[in-house]
Amino acid sequence: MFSGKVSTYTVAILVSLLLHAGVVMLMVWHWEPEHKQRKVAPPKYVQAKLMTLQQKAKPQPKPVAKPKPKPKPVAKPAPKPKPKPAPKPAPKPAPKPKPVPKPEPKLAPKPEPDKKQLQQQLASALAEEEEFLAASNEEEIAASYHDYIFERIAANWSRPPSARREMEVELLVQLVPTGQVISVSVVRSSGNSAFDRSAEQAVHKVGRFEKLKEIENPRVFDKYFRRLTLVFRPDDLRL
Amino acid sequence: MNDHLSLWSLIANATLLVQFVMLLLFFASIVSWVMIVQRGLYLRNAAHTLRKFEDNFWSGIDLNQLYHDCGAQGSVEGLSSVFRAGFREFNRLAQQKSHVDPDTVMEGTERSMRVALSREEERLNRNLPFLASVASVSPYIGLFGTVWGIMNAFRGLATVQQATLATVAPGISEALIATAMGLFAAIPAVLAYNRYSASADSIYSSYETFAEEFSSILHRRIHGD
Repeated sequence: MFSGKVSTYTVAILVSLLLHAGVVMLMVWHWEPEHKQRKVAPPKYVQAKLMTLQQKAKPQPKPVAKPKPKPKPVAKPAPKPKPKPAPKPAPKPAPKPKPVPKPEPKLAPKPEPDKKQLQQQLASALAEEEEFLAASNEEEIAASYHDYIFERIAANWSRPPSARREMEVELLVQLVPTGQVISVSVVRSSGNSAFDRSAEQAVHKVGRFEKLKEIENPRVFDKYFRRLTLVFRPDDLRL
Repeated sequence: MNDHLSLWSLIANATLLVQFVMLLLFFASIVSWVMIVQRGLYLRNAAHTLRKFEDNFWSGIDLNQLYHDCGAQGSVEGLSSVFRAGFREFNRLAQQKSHVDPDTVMEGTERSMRVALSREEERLNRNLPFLASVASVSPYIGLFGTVWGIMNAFRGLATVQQATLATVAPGISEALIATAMGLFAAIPAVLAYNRYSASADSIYSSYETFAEEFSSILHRRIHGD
């Protein structure tokens, strides 16, 4: 009786320990969370602006192609009816409508001499479009950095108590590509020197627009930020 | 990432209290599985010997012979111990001098069988209370560890300037291990407790039925004589 009991307990302890060891092993081996590299696709925005292409490419081929097919309807009916009479002598009404649809497919091969010209036009239109896109892209970049500059200045601008709503001061700020402010000068005074000075102080207080370093395209910087004109109005803190 | 979130480092970096909770739950799980396996083997064995003894008993074997067989087997457990207790008491009382009332003999026999029965019931239900308490308490212990761990994770977060998910995630993950362990210990214990208490009940009621039947046989014998 006693030995039988001990043996069931031994079996039980062994089973239990093995089970737990197995579970721990499993946990340790399969613990690592699967790392699925999630590919974050950057949003591609396509801006389609084809107004120049439509105006230039479409009307051009028309006038060139039109006059050419004109002589064809004359030439075509002649060769076509010839092979026809042999197999089908009786159903004549068929060849009649044929000459009419035939010249139409011929329209495409005809303007071949103009193809190069067309391609050139297309290329120039594409280049124009690209340029336009690039320009608008630059503009977009510039606008976002403008917002950043406004924000920084607005945060640092403490308006004098003498500021009035209709006051307006225009500053010329010179920047270098690191974002450092080189000089600030008043282009158009508001008439209130305290107000002018507070605006100047705000720009000096910022001192350096860190984010401007991130502009990769030096052309954008030269175009929009090297000499920056800022207008200060007290009403809504919009510069 | 790899060494940040491995199971061991999560457990090793946990608070002392959470570590203690985990250790407790781990041992509770080990012990409860020992009980589960042992009880499973015991109850299966008990049901088997019960069937065997009943077959033997109702095969028309001589009761004296059966009594000696049971004693020779060595392990007197289950139904045979009930039978032996009853039969021994019956013979002892019946063999006394004639002025023993048959009802007194039956009373003594039944009493001794009842004692044997209650001993058997205790044997059948041994360790089941432990399983029941593991089943009901270990989720709470695990939850306590988790709550404590999350509490600490958020307390640590309060002092951080830039709070990101990555600063709390290890703490919460580590804390949740405690709940997982609690559930891991509790679920088998609940299932085993329910199953084993049901089968222990059914075995015990078979014992009771047998005791009744056996006492009716003895009753017939003492009044028939």
